[in-house]
Amino acid sequence: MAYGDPRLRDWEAVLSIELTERRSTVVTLAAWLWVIAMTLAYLAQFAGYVRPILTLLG
Amino acid sequence: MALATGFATVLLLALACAGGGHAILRALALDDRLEPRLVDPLAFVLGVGLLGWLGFFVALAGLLAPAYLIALLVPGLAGLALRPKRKPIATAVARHELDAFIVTGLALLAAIAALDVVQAMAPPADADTLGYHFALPKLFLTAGHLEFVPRAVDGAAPLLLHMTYLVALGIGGETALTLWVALLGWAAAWLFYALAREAVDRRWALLLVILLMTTPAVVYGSGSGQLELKLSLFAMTAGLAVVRAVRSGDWRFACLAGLAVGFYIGAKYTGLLFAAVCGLALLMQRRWLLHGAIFGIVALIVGSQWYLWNAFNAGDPLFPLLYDWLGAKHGYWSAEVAAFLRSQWMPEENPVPRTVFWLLAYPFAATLHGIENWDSGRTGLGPFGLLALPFALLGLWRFRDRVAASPLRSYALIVLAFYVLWFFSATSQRVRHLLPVYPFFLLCITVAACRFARSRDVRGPLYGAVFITLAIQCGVVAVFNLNYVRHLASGETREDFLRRNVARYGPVPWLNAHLTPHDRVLVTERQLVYHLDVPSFTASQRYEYLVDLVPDSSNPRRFLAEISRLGITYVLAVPGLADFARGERHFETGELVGFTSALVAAGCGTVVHSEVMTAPRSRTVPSFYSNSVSSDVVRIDAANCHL
Repeated sequence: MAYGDPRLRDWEAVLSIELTERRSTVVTLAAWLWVIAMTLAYLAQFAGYVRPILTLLG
Repeated sequence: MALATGFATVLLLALACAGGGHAILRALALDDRLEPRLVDPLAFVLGVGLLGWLGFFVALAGLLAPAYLIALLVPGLAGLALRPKRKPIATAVARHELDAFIVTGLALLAAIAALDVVQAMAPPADADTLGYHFALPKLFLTAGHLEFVPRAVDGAAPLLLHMTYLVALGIGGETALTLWVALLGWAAAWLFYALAREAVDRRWALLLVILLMTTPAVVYGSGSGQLELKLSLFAMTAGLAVVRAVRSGDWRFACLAGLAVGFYIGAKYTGLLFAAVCGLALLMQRRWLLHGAIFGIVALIVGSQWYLWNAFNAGDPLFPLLYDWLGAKHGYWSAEVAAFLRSQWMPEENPVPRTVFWLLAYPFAATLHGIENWDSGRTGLGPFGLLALPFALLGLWRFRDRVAASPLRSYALIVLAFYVLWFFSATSQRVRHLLPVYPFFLLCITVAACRFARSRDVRGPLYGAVFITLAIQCGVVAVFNLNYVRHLASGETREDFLRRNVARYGPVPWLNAHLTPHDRVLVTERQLVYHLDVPSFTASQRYEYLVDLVPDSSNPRRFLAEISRLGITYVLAVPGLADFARGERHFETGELVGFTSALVAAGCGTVVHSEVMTAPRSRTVPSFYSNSVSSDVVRIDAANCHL
């Protein structure tokens, strides 16, 4: 394909969409990773509470 | 019967507060300048402040009989006539579509409210609440008038909200009081919803309210006398009024801000920090002089009563904070106890240094692995702030050009400025002291996070963060309330509940049964005070100086003279004298038990009762280690004394 070929513009568009989608996937994954990691980090401080609470709940 | 009286009293109080607040809004001609959804909650908040403010004068005048307290509510009830006419609630509800999401959210809130009622039906058991939040109103009611209590931190403190507790207790008894404090927590939820609707839709506003009401610090404190959530009523009102004053230039909003800040100052010393923040916000705008003057004068008039009371009685408006400059009347304080308090209290309440590093690190450390004295674990602010933080920061960056015009910017600045001032002010670093501004934080961080999540289509993780937080926090609500549900369902007696839940409650029933109103018992366990039906005095090594217990500062002879002057006839010694002689020591009671032992040895006192006191480490999780210590009740008998 030579420069200026209309098909090239189609490729550019496809690439752009793909890049955007990939970036969005990365952001989503990173966001989930943060949420899960921080939840676990938060809950870790209460590890000693699991058994007493289970006892409490009978 | 007690429950019916309690509900009736709280209804009366709520209506009177609403009426009083509507009268204030009408007087300021602000009721038609505010959105309808804001008028009722704001009126209620102002009414609560007004009731507390008037309560001071009623108590000062010694008009604390139930008839006078009911009479205090009558003008407020009349003020209901000034409430702007609204559509009936049924019409208003029908106008809004009640989808499954809203119905589920409302059902969840109703369940939490029901659990609050269950909690309110149990006797109060929180230590701070028993030590002074409820004990002081009970003391004033018993005495029939206001009394100055020369104790640092929990005696000579601003008591505006406690005056509303006094009215509830005086009219309807204990159940009215516990229901009233729960209602004040729900008023915060109501106002927060109205405030949040400025920035988010109904669903998010409802979610925010659920997030707030299930926050562990809120769950812990809202059903007790703890003030922080209740103070958010005044903080939210003041913040809203400051923003409106700046935006509209209308002096009446500055006046409203002054009123709310004055109530906050009158209810807790940290109100002074919040007043500085709001004052600064009003001074950094176009109409700074007029607004600043109105705000300052109103806040001073409304908020100064307890500071004048302290100054009149002890010579120090912030007793004993300004002791080094102003001294103290009547020997209420001394250089020794001041130094001892500083040396003990500061490292305990400020476990980390007040540096820029810790200013930044504190929220993370407190959320993920707090120091015990921060109370940030079981009774912290929950994980949502941390989970939503990157979304919010990215949202802030992405829409940075819109931030300047956002109405939330002022709320965010208020939160930030309050946090910085609070952190560097050397007040207690306990995380719950941030609760008054927490609704603003929750609103700002959620809006910023939502904007980002929507723009980058990462709503899934944000919704996940909300869901996870709600799951954890609803679990906290359930576990916390299990104790109260079991108490109600099992028909457990009041005494059994208190023995299980109040640390070292053991000797209280004996003292109530054997002492008379002419006796006075000296205790060091302040959580016993509210449930004692006989006069008491709370001695302390660091918070009072009427009985000098500063280590190596006094002697048995002086001790006897001091307790005789206070009319003390019994001393509760912890640990018991025999264990003390064997070398057992208990927190901050070494001097007291040493002097008491000397009195008994010299024939000035007799051990009349001994009991083992048990202290659960947690009311919620009773299987945690609990400690026990012996105790002796010693009757003082100065007539046969050979000291």
